[in-house]
Amino acid sequence: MNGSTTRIVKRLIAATAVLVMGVSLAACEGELPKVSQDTNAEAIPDLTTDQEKAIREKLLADIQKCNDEKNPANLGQAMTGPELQIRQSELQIASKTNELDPKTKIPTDITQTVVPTDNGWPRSVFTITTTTDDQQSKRLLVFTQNSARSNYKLWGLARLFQGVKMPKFAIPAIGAQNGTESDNGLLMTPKQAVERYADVLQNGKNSKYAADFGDDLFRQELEQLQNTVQQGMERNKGSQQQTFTPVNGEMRVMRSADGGDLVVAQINSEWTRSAGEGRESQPASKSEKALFGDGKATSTMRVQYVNVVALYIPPKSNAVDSAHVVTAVGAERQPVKVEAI
Amino acid sequence: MNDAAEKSKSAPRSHEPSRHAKIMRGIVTPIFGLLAVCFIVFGVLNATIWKPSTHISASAQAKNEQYIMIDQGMLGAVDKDVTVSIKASNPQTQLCMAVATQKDATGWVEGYPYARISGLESWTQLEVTDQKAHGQATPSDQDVAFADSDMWRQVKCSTGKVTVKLKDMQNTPLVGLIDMGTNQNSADIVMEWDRQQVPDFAMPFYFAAGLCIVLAVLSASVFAMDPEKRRKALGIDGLDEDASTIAKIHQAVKGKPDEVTVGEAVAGTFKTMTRGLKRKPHDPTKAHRRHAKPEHEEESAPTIIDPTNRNMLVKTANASNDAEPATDAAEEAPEADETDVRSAQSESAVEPQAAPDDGTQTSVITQDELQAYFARLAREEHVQFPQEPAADEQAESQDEESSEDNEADDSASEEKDEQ
Repeated sequence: MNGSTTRIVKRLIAATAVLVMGVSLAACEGELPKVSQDTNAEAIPDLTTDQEKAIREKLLADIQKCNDEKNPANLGQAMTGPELQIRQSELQIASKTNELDPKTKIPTDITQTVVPTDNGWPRSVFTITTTTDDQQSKRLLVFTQNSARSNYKLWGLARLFQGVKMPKFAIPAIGAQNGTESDNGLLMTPKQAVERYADVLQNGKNSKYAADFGDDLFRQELEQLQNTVQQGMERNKGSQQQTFTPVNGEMRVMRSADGGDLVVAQINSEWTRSAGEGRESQPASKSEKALFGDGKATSTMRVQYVNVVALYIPPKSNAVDSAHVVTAVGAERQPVKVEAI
Repeated sequence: MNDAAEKSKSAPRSHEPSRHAKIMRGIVTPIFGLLAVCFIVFGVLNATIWKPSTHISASAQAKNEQYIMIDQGMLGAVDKDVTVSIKASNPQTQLCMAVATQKDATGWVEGYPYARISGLESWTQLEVTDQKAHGQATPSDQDVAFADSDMWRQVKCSTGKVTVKLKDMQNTPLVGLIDMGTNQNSADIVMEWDRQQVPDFAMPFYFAAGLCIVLAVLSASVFAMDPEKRRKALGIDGLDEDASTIAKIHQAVKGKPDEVTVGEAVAGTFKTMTRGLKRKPHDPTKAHRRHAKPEHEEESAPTIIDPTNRNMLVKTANASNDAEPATDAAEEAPEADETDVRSAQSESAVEPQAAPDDGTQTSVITQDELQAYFARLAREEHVQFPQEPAADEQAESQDEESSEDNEADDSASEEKDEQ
């Protein structure tokens, strides 16, 4: 190896060293960011208010379309549960009477929405609308998503009683929590409350649970109707009987800010009226008459109703004095089937 | 003193720099200068061509998976705005990407295996992990299509390629979920961010360069000076009078200057620098103007005369000089009004304050103390000092005692005159 070769090798080594040093001193992109998981992700509301609004408006638009067409065929896309049965009946009646019952109106504007933070399914969003343009009472809407791969549908609707005081709920940005039918720490569990309220509806003041519930408009109107029918039946020596039965699984619960539960549940009722002295038992209202249609009346008529009731169950610790009762805050009632037997 | 002067004369100063100065100016200074230049160059390079890129693009490929989930926090990992692009190997594939909460996305893929983009392997590579299926899939005819689900905060579908631009994705609980269809397709996923802030790697180089420049200047100036010259340049004389005196005496006795250590040189250098930064002496007329009292208040302040602080030696000397005027004043006093007498007395009372240089209140070293100091110094250094001043002082002290007696007599006579 002669001197020139050695010189070249030395220069190469020097150049390599300079290059390596230069590269090592050259800037990099900085430290790689670490992905951090938010540990508080469990408490995220299931929907934003924008999502809730979009879902609500889409569903109400679909329902309105069915209303306009008076065709319940497509109601299944927007409704489920007891409200689907009720609206089908309403549209069926409307198609025969060519008149849609005013109570079918659902305002698109809302006063409050309660979004849960639950992880599982089904999930329910409770929304309270404004009054209708003809000053009907506010509606309590219950939207339910039964599974991750299904969308929200209107499960229940209850017209709130005038002047009723609703419990307070967490704002949508924070989110509330869906309850269950066996929630404890309350005056009674939601399931017990619905069963006992059904008994109160059936037996009135004679129910052993009558004292557990405050007086409400739904019970008053139902009692008044039954009394009126009873008076007619007594004139022709007829009889009537109405039974109320809670429907298993058809219950949605939202926990309120004070620890109580707002329960919306379906209670089916069957009203059997028997005329005496060889008379025929006729439908008791326009709705029943529309549903009965051209059917041949007999001495006995059986009408099946779908009732949706909204009950507020206060927490046991807060239930004192006047609050020591379960309060019905809204209800809906619709005959769905009329038959002569 | 004389020895040092002779020494300096016998060794005439050469104009050539010393070896120390040559090393500092010829080797150390260039090294620091070179380092400074290098740091500046690297700083400029890091600020320009080596500057971290603001645009980050990381990609990955997913194979044989229907679903790809971009983990929570990944969308905003680099910056708040991100663009996600998915390109299927089959251009006819229907691609969808949704943004949802973790629980909703997990609920959707329940029972299905999926790939997870869980982080960044590098600045150009996404980290992809396979995730086994959780739970059991329960497909139903009632299931909605991916694009139609209510759960998505944002969803976009397209054929072959889909690009989703997302904003404000930092500190959100949202994830990305990509549906590539059921045909076991593969796709390339690219995530792009434009960083608003990139790390500044140039500034440390600039700082180091500045430090090297300072060191180079110091090496060429202060550190290159001979220790003796540097000490003179530091101005020890002006620092502390006592220290200067002691140093001079020490130098006179030892006959040679102290060797200056490196630590002392550096400390001295910084001391010189800090001296320059020190504030100039306060102008009493300017200082504390807001809280300063007016001058007339100081003039009207009561005068406190401490009789224990009187220098009787000076007092005696002054008394002897002023003996005749005082006598004249005493003789003229009976002829004057009472008012004139009081004003004369008040003038004599404020005289020490009006003329502070008379030595009556100063705490200067007395002649005895000075003599004792010289004697002690002579004992320590074996230096002979002349004794004549001491004899004069003794005579002066005797005069002082006699003048004190006279003064006592004068005050007694004044009291008698007033009565």
